[in-house]
Amino acid sequence: MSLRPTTATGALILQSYLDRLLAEIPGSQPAVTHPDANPSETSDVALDEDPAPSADAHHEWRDTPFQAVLFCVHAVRLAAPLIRLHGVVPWNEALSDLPNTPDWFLGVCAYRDQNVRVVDTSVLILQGQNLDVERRHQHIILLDVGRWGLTCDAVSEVLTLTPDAVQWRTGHGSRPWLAGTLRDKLCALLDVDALAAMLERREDCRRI
Amino acid sequence: MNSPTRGSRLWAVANQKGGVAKTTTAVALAGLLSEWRKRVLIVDLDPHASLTSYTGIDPDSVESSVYGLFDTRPPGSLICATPWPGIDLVPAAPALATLDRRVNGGRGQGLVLTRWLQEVRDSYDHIFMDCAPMLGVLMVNALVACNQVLIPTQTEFLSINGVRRMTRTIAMLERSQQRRLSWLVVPTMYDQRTRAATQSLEALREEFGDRVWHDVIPVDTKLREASKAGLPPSGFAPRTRSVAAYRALLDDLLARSRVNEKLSA
Repeated sequence: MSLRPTTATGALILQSYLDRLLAEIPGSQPAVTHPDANPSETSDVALDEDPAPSADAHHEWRDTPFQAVLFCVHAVRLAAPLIRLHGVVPWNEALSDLPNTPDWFLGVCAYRDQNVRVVDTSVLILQGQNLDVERRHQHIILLDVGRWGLTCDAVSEVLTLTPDAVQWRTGHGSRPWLAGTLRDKLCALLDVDALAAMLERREDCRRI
Repeated sequence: MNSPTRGSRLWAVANQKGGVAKTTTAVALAGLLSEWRKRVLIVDLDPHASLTSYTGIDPDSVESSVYGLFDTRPPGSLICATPWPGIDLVPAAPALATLDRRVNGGRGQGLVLTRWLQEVRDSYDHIFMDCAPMLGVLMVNALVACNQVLIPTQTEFLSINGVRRMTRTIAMLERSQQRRLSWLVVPTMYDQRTRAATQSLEALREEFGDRVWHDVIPVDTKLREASKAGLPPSGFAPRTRSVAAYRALLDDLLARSRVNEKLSA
């Protein structure tokens, strides 16, 4: 099967595409100074510096205002940073099964010449909570470079958040995929990179 | 770093619809500025390479092109002289058609042109970026790098959709960049004898208000003849009404720029 974005998700996909194109790569090149930027606010020294590599280059979005996608899974609202997503596609066809997979692994689908491994978010993240709420997963949220997809019932909105709008989680516990909680919305913000890494590790274990 | 407000002005000429006089507009404005002894760079971001061909340079035989920006070539080597005094060119090549697939929406690829222009912009008073009629990595680069977007629009009804698409794209870029983009719709190929032209101009003004330039670029066969002759319109037929209209547009754009500079100073 193949997935094609619909008009409803087109804007999100396009915004995600633009955000990726315009994301600074920390440490790789001098920061971009926009032609309309006030020169007094830019630092020539900063351009000459060779900044130390970030401890985790994927987390630099946490330090500035960022956009987050809100989506629902069995009536539970979750959020994910838009910049760490590959896209949102409708899920309306069957997935290809793989043998010997855990219960959270729903199957594989093709998206733009790539195999996407689709995860049942209600099993993996919610661990079976709210399963009595009747919902059919309608969309697949593609993480990072698009190797993994999370199922969801609906994508509700895109918010622009400042770092202080999030109660950031410190330390690593049993939920490495949890970046923090949106204070106003009281919903979990996913750490997409940690989640993708966790899924890769589990995939490797399954292969062994 | 020089103050950008005192350095070159960067213009993106863009519309997600083709055949609306983007290249003609870029060449006409560049030609007028060069007559005023301004140093101008024109950047061809369209795989069809109409701008490059207009200058008489064969896009199939250029040694370097805009593609080199994404290929870590040192700045400067991409620029070539044109037959027109005071105007340099960064040519396009057919290989640009493969660029989107190559960069594959990669992080930071929308900022490549902005970075490169920081290196060369002090050598020019004005830089025009002529975009392909499609949203892709090259158009994103131009829209992000420029001070102002010019959206040439043929005065016919289908063209209004092209402007709508452009404004949606601009709104998304504004969200991504958290800054306002300055843009102006320029009605082109206006034929006042046809009802379709007058009605679509009216519709444009109704929908986009003062974002539409107050005057129009009239339809003029001299523009086509100028491109055939490989000359900017002002060099080919300086007294034609389309050149007069482009001159008025340029006066207006420069006046707006000066006002904006004062406001942001």
